[in-house]
Amino acid sequence: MSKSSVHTNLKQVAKLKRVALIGNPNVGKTTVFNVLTGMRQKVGNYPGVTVEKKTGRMDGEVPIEIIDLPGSYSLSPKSLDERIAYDVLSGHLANEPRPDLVVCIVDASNLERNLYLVTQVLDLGLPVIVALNMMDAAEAAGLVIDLKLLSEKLGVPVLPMSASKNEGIGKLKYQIRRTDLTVAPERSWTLMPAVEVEIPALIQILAEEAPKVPERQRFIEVLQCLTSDTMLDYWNKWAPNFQKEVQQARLRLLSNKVPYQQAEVIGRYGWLSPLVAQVVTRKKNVGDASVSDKIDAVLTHRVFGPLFFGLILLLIFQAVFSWATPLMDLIESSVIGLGAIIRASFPAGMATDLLVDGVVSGVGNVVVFLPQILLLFFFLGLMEDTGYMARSAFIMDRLMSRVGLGGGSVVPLLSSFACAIPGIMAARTLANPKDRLITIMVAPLMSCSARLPVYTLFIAAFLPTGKVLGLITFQGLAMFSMYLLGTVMAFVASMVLKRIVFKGESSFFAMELPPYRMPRFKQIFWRMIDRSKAFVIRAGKIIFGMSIILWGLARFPVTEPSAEIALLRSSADTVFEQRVDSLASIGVPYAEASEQIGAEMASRYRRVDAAEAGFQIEHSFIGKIGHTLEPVMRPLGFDWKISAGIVSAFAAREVIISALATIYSVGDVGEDSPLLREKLKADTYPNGDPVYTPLVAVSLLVFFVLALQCMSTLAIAKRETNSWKWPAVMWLYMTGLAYLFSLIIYQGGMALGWG
Amino acid sequence: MSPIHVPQPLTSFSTGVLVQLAFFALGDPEAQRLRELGVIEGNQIHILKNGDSFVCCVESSRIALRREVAMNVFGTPVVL
Repeated sequence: MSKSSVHTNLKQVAKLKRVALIGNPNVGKTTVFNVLTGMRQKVGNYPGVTVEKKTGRMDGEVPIEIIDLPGSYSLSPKSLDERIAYDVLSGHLANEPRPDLVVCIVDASNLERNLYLVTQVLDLGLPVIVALNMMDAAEAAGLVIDLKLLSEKLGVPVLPMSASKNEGIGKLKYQIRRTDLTVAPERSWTLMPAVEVEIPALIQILAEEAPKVPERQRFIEVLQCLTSDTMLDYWNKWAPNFQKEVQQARLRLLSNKVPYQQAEVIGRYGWLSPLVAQVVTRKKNVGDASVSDKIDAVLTHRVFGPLFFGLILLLIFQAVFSWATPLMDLIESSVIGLGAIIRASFPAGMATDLLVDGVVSGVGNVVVFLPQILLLFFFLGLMEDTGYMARSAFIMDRLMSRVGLGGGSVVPLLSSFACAIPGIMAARTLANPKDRLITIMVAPLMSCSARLPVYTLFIAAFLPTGKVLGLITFQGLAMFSMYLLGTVMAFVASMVLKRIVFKGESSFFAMELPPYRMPRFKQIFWRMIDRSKAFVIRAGKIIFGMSIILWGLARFPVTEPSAEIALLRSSADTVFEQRVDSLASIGVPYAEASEQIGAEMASRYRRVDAAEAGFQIEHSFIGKIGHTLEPVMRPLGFDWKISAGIVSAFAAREVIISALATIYSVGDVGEDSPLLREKLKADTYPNGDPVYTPLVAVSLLVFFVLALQCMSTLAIAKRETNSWKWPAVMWLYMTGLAYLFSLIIYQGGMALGWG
Repeated sequence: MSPIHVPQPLTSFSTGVLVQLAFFALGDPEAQRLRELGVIEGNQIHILKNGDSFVCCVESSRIALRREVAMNVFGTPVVL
């Protein structure tokens, strides 16, 4: 690097020094980040511990920003996490310059592998500090590391640390505050000669075409492009000639049978291995069984392992579905109460209706899921933090590989039982892009918590009570079947995707099992809060907005009641007047009389109100949509009201409850409301046949298991796959499946005479 | 036992054996991933678990491999 660029670096330091933390997964990076910033992480995200970039401030005279990068084994981007790490360090992100300093957190007990990433960071030409964390573990393992020699060889400061014991943090802080740190020395390792000769020319072209790339960073950019297509694509816009030259260089290397893909690994390790051998002295055999190994002997045992995992899952589901209930009931009743208070204290009219039916119930629809989601995130956090998550992937790998997925897909799919959105985001940690895509595509088939209210309503209303073998209720069994159907279909779908769409992919699973440790509840708690906040905001916006739109669709166009209904009201009014008059004639004061009669006739007036509201709905936009769709939905056993409900539920599943409630004009409804349940049961077609039979209910339930009725899922899938193609495929195949299955069930059931 | 060993798949060694890794019969991206995890040609690893699933010990870390992957990693036993 030239003198002048060192100067500009120093100038930035004086402004706001930005320091990036990078390291392998499970090296205690998050602990170091917490200790340095002294605050909780701002952008906690879905599983993977540190998927998104997190920042914090380090106290001191000069403010210093600390950026926590996702844990990565290398900078050659394979998973999205590693891509993010490289983009931040190389300044590829828009509006974000390169950091001023990189702190590499290294596991001292596993130096060789950890230093691989360090050599990549050194090649970026930034100032670098190496923090040798877990020195205590290294000492316990009988390793002696010559720190001075290591620092000399790497050409950067090397600091010993044990972050969990708060040892060495002061020195790290001091080094981070230093303003006289120079950039890391140029690489002292070489690529295989056949590849090395290609480098200078490519660096030259890159320098000409993209002069903004710092001089010392050019080598690693060239190397990345040579081995990775995603890195090469980045230059589409910025340096098309460079891109072409790299492709030609690849062809030249290929035709000469040069294994250029492996050149980087061979070159770096060729330099590192002897270096580590020189620096590290071993006192003890490292193969001795640790405490973690002893725990693993049980928890990953071929029989006890899956058994224990099953037990854990059972516990989590039990917690999510039953412990959350009291809180959910509380939220529901407070939402209803709030609505009533608003109705009582504001004048009746359009604005109050919008406030109560649109806004309050809309927000309530979101908040009611929060207890379940908080609990799920708590348990996932617990699994992550103790190190059990990696074991669960490992245990499940064998089973998952049979259906075309890997063990890594277990956690994203499990998270999808709460909500497909965190599930899809958790798929980011999968290194194989095909596995990741398949996981994203099938995750929405896992029954999420938004389907739960729909299951509850229809199962409670239309399936018989009673017990199987005197133990399990029919209704409980039905609920379980819904979850089972979703899960089985997810497996079938991934098998089909693997066979047809991504055929010929080799199966691969290699994963580090981090040592077990005691959970850090404070950290788990805050991560749970952060993740739930993200869910509420994302999902809330959509459900809130939809509730208002739905309200509008049901309320407009305003229709005059039919003559029949008008007659109902006028006859009620006549009776009312007559009775009040007769009371008045025997000397009861008029106000008192009308109050008494009003109370006596309340239920009659409620019927009139409901009839008017029902008529209004039928002629509203949503009624029209339902009627238009009825011919298509009829073969599944759905009338116009259910069709209208399904249409509204395409925004978010649970909306069907409020939609049916609006259609049946029952105020203040939750899925357990006996009122709505009774109304549904009582509803008939003009010829007197009931609209809802158990068969219709089953058909509707299956439709809800399989159909993709969630705008948020589509939006997140678009963001994660970076195109509308996959969300479109997802929507089509899931909705197609739903239609097909409901059709088979209803028509089959009718043919068998179960209708 | 003959002094010169022909490399064998990792799944052929029993638990507790120290193995010197020789070569990988895997695709480039897969082999690369293993190297990044510290499973590198020339390195020595301990076999911790070899059965339905496979776990080995590299330095102080534990690496789990799918059996099909371990079958394609070759090495020779190290006699201490």
